[in-house]
Amino acid sequence: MIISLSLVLRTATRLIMPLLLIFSVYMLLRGHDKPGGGFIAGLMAGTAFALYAVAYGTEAMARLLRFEPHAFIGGGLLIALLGGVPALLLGEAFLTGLWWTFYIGDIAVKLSTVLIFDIGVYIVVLGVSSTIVLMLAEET
Amino acid sequence: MDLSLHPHWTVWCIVVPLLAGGLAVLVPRWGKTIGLIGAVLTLIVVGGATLQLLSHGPQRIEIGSWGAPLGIQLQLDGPALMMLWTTALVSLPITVYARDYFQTPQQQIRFWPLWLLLWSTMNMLYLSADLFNLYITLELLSFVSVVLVALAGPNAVRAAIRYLLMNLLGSLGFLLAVALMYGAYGMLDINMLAEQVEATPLTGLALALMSIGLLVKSALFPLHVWLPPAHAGAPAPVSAVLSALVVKASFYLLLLLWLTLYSPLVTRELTTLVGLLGIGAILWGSLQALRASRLKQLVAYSTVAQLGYIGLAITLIDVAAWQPVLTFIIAHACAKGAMFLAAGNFQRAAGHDRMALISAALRALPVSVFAFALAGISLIGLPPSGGFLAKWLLLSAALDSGRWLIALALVGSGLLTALYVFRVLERAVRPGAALKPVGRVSPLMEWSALGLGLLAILLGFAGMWITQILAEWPV
Repeated sequence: MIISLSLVLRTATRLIMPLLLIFSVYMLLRGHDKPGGGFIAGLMAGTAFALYAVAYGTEAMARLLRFEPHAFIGGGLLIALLGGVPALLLGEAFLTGLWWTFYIGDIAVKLSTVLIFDIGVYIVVLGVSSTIVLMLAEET
Repeated sequence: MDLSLHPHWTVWCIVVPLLAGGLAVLVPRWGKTIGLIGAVLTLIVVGGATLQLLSHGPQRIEIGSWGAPLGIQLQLDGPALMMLWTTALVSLPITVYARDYFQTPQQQIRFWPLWLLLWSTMNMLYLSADLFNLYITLELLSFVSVVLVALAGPNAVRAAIRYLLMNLLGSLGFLLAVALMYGAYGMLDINMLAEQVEATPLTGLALALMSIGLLVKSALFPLHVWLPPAHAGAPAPVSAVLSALVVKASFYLLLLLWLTLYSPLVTRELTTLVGLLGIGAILWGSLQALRASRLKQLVAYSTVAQLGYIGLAITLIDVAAWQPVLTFIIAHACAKGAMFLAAGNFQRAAGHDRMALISAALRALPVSVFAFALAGISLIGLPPSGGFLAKWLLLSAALDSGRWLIALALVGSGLLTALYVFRVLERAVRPGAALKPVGRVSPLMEWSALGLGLLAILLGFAGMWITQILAEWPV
């Protein structure tokens, strides 16, 4: 893939990409009972990297990912599965959501094993979409 | 009775190979090690699941603690346990074999995650009690198998694509049936549905779609056309898995649905039709195996023929239910696994698998020939092999219920099987020049084939055990 010569696109990407990534994390966190979740958020992060690939080329994108996209798929799968394990250790059924609430001042922060699962899904989807982008770029 | 007591082992049967597969993607360099450790651990957790069944009886697990109409349930009973064991026992030697079989790192990197994922999917299929989840396992099974077939290189791509298209058609039929059932009854859990199902035209349509879909996937004649090129073209360990386990998984599912969900609709006419197709499969498959010009093609057509027996066995489900079919599935899984591994050894040594020129390779690898012969004994159904046990059960069920045609087909087809098995074995005793080996066959590759062959024979002595488990914990 050719590196885009458009200065507008390249500059805009530097601004938009962090926003997309931050927004994807927001989507991931709010996803438990509102629209969003690991899958959508992962796609969004994938879009951010795809945009970077269009602006700066696939090699730069692969460098930015740091690891092989395959490693994201495997690692994400492991994290998602590990999210189901604490329930097993407590004698509940596999993947049962366990909640842990603590307070920072007056704000209740709820953490759960479901979040671990969702983070795993996020990473898998990011890995898959990056793989697709990289492979499509290789073809042309 | 509290069914959700100690549910861990059952879940681990799915999670352990999946975890190992994830690790194999993450650290491709250690694929071989992870594969072996994953295989051994899976065998151990299947053992754990057995203990669990022995001490607590059938299990039902609500994943994520979500109840049946909403969530997905796993179910461990006698037949599922038999399938778990079959898969584990056949997969372990295949894992050992594959460690030496794949030579390029590229193949290794791709094989191990896919293989472990395939294993996990098969276990999920046996344990799942939810129609939609079953559809997902079927779909995963075909996608993973197709990629595994294509690992053989550019020559296998055509066969892989054909495999993919036929299996997608099968999945589509299954999915449509699931949608119809959900529309009619508003639930997907097999056990809850079984209480509600009535013999309406809609349910009949769902049954027809689901059965055709599953028969395409289990390659019953005349829907078998995708099987021989795919199973013959795949790398040897993959052929072994596909022939020994993957086609059986959809047969298992067909039987499960017919015996539980659709039992009010499954009539004698329907089972007789499947039986007739089975006879057709035996004749056609054997004939093609006799004509095959390549060894792996011969073994693949033998699978087509042997799947015909399962069709025959299905005609007897009203008198014998699970036992003959499952015994046959297990016996054939071990025998066909051994045959394909042995065939892979000959192919590796000779650099090809053309029947006309294979005899030098057969002479050079006596252990593999022995494995092939043991598997052949089980396929023909000579005592004391597992194949004999399965045929004996089928034959006595057929005679008890006075179905002479089936009994006749069973006995006659043994001879056909013997013909194509001896067509290979005869080449091992032909005189000729010594082989100039093209590829190296490691001792482990030979011994894992032999292990499976021995298993196929020893299974003949496990009859009591199978009967007991199935009698005590039916679905």
